[in-house]
Amino acid sequence: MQVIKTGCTDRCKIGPVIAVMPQNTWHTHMDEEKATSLFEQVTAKLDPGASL
Amino acid sequence: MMVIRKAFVTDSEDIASCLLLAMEEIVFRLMGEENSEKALAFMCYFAERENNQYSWQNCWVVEEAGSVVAAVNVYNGAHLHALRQPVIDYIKNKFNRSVTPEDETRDGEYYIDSLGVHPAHRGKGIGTGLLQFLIDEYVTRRNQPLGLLVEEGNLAAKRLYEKLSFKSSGRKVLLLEKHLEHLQIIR
Repeated sequence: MQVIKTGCTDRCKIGPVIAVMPQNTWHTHMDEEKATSLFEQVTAKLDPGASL
Repeated sequence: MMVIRKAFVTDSEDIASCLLLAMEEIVFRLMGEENSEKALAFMCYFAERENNQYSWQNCWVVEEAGSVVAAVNVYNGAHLHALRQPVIDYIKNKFNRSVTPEDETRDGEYYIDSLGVHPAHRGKGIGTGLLQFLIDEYVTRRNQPLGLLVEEGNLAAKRLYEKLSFKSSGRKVLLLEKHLEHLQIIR
C-alpha cells in the first residue's frame, strides 16, 4: 500500500476516496471501518505467491 | 458509498439503459423513429458486443449498493471510424438508412462519448465523481488529453465541465442537427 500526499483535487463531496490499483477502482465515502474491510477483501483475493 | 470500476460484459444491459439516458434522442435520429423499446434493444446490441463505440469494453460504471447507477463510454479518438463502422452498418442493414455523422472526436484525445446517471440517483455528485475519476484515469495516470462535446446553450453542463478544468478548444461540431462545442483537458 502506498499513501501519496496530494494537493486539493476537489473531491470533497465523494471523499475520502480509496483507489485500488492496478485496476484503479475507486471506493468513495470511505471511513476507517470501511477502509479496513476493503483492505481485507482486496488482500484476500491476492495470490500469496505473487510478488507485490 | 459508490464504487467506480471498469465494466464487465455482464454489465451490458445496465450500460445500455444508462447510456440511453444521455443519447436516446440521437438513437431515435439514427434509427429514424422514436421508439424507446427499439432504442434500448439497439443499445443492448452494441453494449454486449466488442469493438464498437458503445461496447462494454469502452465503459466504466458506478455501482451503489451492488447496482449499477451510472455508466460512461470513453475511447481513443484515433479509433472513432473503426468503432463507428459497425453502428453505421447495423443502421443500414436493420433500418435501411445511410447515416454519415460528422466526426465527434479525432486522433490525439480520449473521448467521453456519453455519460448517464440513473434518475433516482441524480443530485448526489455521481456524475461529477465519475468525471473526476476519468480525469484521474486518463489525464493524470495515462497522460492523455481528455475531450467531450457539450451542447451549445447547455450552460449548467458547461459550468460543471469548466469547474473540473475542461477548457474550450474552439472546435465546433454539428452532430445529427445538434450544435456542440468541444472541451478538453490537457495535462
